[in-house]
Amino acid sequence: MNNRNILWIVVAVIVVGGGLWLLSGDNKTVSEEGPIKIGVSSPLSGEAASYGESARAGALLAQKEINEAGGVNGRMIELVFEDDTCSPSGVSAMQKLVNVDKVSAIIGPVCSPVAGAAIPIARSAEVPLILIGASAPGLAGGPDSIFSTYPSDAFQGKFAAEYLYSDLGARKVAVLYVNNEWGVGLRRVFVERFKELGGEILFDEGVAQDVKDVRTQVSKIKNTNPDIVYVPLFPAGGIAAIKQFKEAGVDVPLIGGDAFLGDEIVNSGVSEGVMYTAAKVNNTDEFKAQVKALTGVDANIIAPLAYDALKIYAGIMEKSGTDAAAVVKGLNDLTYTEGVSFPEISYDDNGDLEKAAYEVFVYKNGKAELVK
Amino acid sequence: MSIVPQIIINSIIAGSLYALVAMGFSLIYSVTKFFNLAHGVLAAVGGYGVFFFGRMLGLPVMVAVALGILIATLVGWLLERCVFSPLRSRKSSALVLLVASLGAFTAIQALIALLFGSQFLTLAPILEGGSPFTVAGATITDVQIVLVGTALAAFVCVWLILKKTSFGKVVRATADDEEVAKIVGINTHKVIGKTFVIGSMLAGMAGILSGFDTGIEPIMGLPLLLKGVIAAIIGGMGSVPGALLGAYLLGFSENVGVWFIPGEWKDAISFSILILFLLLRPFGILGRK
Repeated sequence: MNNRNILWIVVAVIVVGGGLWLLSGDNKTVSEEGPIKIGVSSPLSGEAASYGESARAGALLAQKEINEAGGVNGRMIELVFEDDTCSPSGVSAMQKLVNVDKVSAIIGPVCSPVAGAAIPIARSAEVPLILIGASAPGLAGGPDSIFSTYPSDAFQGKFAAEYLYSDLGARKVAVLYVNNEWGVGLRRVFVERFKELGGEILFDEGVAQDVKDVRTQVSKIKNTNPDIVYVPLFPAGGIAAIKQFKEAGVDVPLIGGDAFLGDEIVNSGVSEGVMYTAAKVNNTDEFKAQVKALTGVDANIIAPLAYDALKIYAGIMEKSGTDAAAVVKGLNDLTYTEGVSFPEISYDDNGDLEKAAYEVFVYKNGKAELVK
Repeated sequence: MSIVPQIIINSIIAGSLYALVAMGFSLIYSVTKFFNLAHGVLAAVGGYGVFFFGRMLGLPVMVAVALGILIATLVGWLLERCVFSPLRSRKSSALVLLVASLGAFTAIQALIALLFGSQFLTLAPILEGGSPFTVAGATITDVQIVLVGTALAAFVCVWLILKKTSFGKVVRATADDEEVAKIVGINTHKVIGKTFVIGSMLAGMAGILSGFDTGIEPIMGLPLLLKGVIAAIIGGMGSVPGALLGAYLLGFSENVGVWFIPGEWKDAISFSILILFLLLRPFGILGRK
């Protein structure tokens, strides 16, 4: 055996051994002592970074309050933050949380595209998971460990259709949606409901999440002469599309979905007059001030969702321990009225939020104003 | 139908953007005979350069643009000096250079994301733009007019340089056969360096104009590069007029095609055309057999 061969064998041993060691890590599925690890999967970078920041800030505030009050039965909460970048490749964040960090419970994801890919991982490991923003219909699935503390888009799409038809009097609508879990879900519900009400869909096309040039679609839409354009797009594509609509001289109202509520839209400078729907989540000034004082972040509605999710976990674990099945049962039986985000949080058999209300906002002078 | 002028304008706009990338790419290929994938990231460098100088430092628009182009040119030239040239002097194959350029592309892209974050940013706020113009029933913005003008002006300049100056002659000689050019006494090393300068400038301009028109993000280089490469190939690899022709052809096919079929298929159209050309006429429209 010459030196070269020995080197290869050493490398192989290190790689295989290291891998085995890493994966076996903490061998118990959930440790019974020491800090309770709760994973948070959110977009800390990328086009939806403002949502991830708010999620992180809300969770940190809840963690601080819980730990300062003595933790959960004496055990401190330890948060493990992973960046899922709001795209399907972010599934690696979930992999790490479930398989490497072996967290007791998970908060997130925020983005539907990630959720679609990541949820099966948590589901098959039976780790309790509360979605805080991923709203594509059907994500929470059937009775299992997956819950959603943000209403499903089955509601949002319907609400948007009804708002456009009844409140804005639109009869002919063009739809440009982002081709991912969220956009496809919203579009399906919207189109179905709008047609049910008697409206006409003049144009219905999707664009990939990373496409920025939609000029041809804009020209086609302009040519169909709609009353309103429904644009459930993600922030990056949405900004480009809004700009191109305005440049093309499309002057009918543009209304998007809750992906438009982040800072990104305002910071782009093209937001004037753009409307969007979002679930009614309470984000009181008092709460926002607390979050800002702790983290410096201007919280959007994802913060109260993350805050409540952590508090809910802590409450259940205090009573029933950290065993996954017990936590899931606790979530199923939950009627939580001490939350910041909603007056009452309870989940139906599928894990979806039982109650939901929506609001419509319009951007004026760089600020979102409530319209309905 | 009032939509036809708009489609034509959209095609010209898209074609101009692709042309800027394709011309630089083709020019560099003609003298070095390898696919420089790092060409794409220079567009991002240009765009972010303007962002840095214009939005972060607050310098006047034209200064920021000039500095942006300068940075892109510098990075491109440095890549040639520090990465590609040493590899070439070791007689590395075109494949090795391609992989090296891919590495450079990825590394620089990641660096940009590290420095500036990976979200989508717009350059437009630093422009005091007017409202879009209407020409024969189609709308076009001032940035887009500049884009088209720049592409055409760049083509004319590069073509004049290549055809009318002695430097251009030297470039064409090197493109023809590098070995013979060296024998004849041409300092091909310097020639290639200067070619990279020109090519990188064009790429930087493409990135900057695209940034003004749509926006910038670290990954903006790849789509631009791909379209530029397709345009260069179908127009004839190594031919600058070919690159221009290919780019406008591509722009038209995409935009006219998407009129009839859903917009999501735009890229499918481009790549289908590429495959068609590679099968039937691999040397492109203006390429030589």
